[in-house]
Amino acid sequence: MLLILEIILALIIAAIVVVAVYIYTQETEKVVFYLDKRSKAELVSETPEKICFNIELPYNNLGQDEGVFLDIYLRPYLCQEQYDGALLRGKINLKGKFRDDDYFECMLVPVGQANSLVMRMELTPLKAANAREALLGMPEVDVAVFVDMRGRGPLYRQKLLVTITNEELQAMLK
Amino acid sequence: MGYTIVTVPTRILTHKDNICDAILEFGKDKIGPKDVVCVAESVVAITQGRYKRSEDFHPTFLAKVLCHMFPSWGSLSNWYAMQSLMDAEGSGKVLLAFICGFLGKCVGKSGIFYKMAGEQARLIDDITGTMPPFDKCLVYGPANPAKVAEEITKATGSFGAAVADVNDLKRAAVLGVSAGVDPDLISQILIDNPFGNGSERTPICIIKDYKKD
Repeated sequence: MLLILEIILALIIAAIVVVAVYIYTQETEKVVFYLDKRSKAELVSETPEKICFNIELPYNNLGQDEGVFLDIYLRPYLCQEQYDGALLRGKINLKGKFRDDDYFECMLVPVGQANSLVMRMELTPLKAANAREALLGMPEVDVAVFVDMRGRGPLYRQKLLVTITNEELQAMLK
Repeated sequence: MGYTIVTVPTRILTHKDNICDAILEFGKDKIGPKDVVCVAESVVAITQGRYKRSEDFHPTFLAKVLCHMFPSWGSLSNWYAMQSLMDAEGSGKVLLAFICGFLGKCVGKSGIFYKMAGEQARLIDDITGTMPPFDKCLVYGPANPAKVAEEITKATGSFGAAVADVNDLKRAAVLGVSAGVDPDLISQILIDNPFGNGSERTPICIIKDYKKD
């Protein structure tokens, strides 16, 4: 009887070890954003009241498991203390699936599927005379992109910083 | 098969809607006494408030372990979906189903887990499985689908009603029907997914003249 109990106990321990090793060695998602390969600012539209431009941000899932983008949103770090000539706002979505609203639809990120996010920035003049003047006077600005993600495991957030330089904005308007 | 199906577009229905009222609001003039009203199961579940966001779950150690035993494309392959199943069906039941399912697979028999773990194991839609704004939610299967079908029949004056889970992969599961409606026949009629995908916003369809004279 004792031997049988010992065998059962050994089998349970062995099963626990096998499961633990299996989980530990299981590949996960690994979504990488290529900040250094982002596009330069590309003009979408320009009026005296507003300038819109896009920046493409490529990414890929280099892991071995599927990931999910739950939400992606951005916040430009342009404060009035630094520059009160313009108000910079933006939204972000998948390339080719841009929406008119500010919603980001949850999406799967399959293994090895490279794609791009598109940041749509909108600049409106505050103290500057018009949008062009506001944009040309704008200093270098960081835009924080927050990516809420999930794979098999816990929810987590990646924070990316996209730096928009004054030079690229000037080049965009030429 | 010789049945005409009329789709009924709606606005986005939420937990503040009553499914019977919504059917009457959008499709009353299209429903006749010989017709069967069919409703997508996820929309019934949403009107019943049976959905939750990932962040509302508190995954247990067991959920964190068991989810790893399912392929990543499955609806139970992550902490939150597995926990949602355990919340709905009970952790012990899910664990027992998993052990039996594992043993079954060892002898070449599949599907045991889904038979034993309760109907929610087949019905839970993970995030991205439903249209916005519910794309960020896990959506359970509806509660009492047969009762819902009876209520729809009574409210609309139709011959009958059905609550169905249909997708574009030629899979149609009828979860509940009212009296006199054949679920197998409904399943065959709906096989081409007349509900369409979520963005078409046609969660209701009417099978015209289901009852033959």
